[in-house]
Amino acid sequence: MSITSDLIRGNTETIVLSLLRNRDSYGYEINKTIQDRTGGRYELKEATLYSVFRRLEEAGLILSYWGDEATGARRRYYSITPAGREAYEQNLKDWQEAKEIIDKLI
Amino acid sequence: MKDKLRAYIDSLFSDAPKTRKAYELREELLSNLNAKYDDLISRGYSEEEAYQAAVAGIGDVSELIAALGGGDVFGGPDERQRKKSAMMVALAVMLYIVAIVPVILFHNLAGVVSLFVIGAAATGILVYNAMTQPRYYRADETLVEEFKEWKSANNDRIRLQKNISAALWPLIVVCYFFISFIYTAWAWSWIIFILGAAIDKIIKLVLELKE
Repeated sequence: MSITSDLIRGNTETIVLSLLRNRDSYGYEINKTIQDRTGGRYELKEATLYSVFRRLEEAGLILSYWGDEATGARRRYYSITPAGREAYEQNLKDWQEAKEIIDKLI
Repeated sequence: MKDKLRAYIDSLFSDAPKTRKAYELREELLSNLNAKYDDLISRGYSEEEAYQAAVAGIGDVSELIAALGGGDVFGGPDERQRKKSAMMVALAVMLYIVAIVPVILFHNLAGVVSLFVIGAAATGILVYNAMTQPRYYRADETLVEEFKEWKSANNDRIRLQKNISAALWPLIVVCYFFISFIYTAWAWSWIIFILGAAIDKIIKLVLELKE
């Protein structure tokens, strides 16, 4: 199975929203979580990740702010908005419905 | 190796616009790559391996950088707006010319009053036209953009001033002749010009203070 298939790519925004539900996070941490949870089978390219951040931010689903780390480079954190949570719930429902339908068909 | 990472990112952004957004994207990318690099080192990667893995994970950022791209920064007035503006100026000029007709036709107060009314309407159109010109808004938080905005605001004020002056002086001349003829006051009516100059200056001052 091609892990970068459109099936997964079509859900990257929901994946990022889902990972931000519990706490604010930054680019590398999000990608690391994705890697860890999939046992290293899936990882987003930086470029893809930032496009997703920009799209979600423009849609008002997430907010970003710069952290103030005592050491090292500053990190840009992202935080989910109430609208983002709503979008996540909706996308989750859509996905479950689609999964059910596809399971019955293939 | 971290210098090498930074140098690599800098080369990616060499064509990017010098804006805050571009700078922030660069900082974000760099801080995440550094985090990844440190993580890989702590997991036993060699420096070279960690660098290669970090760079390989970036993917194609050209689209992201293009999305920052300047675009049409100095979005001038569009064609339709220019036409509308030209129409209004033409109408105002026509009104100024027409305004003299009643004075020539009727040698009485009604003629003069209609001259003032038509003149006021024409001036109103000019002022409205000047005020509704599209202003320049900053496309980004840079000094250059701030300067452009300031220049645009300044131009607005100067345009308004010029229009008011242009309307004011013909009126002053008309006043001069009117008062001089009616009261045969040629001896002192020249004072109107000094008063007119003073009014002109006061209007300029008020506009400047309003900034």
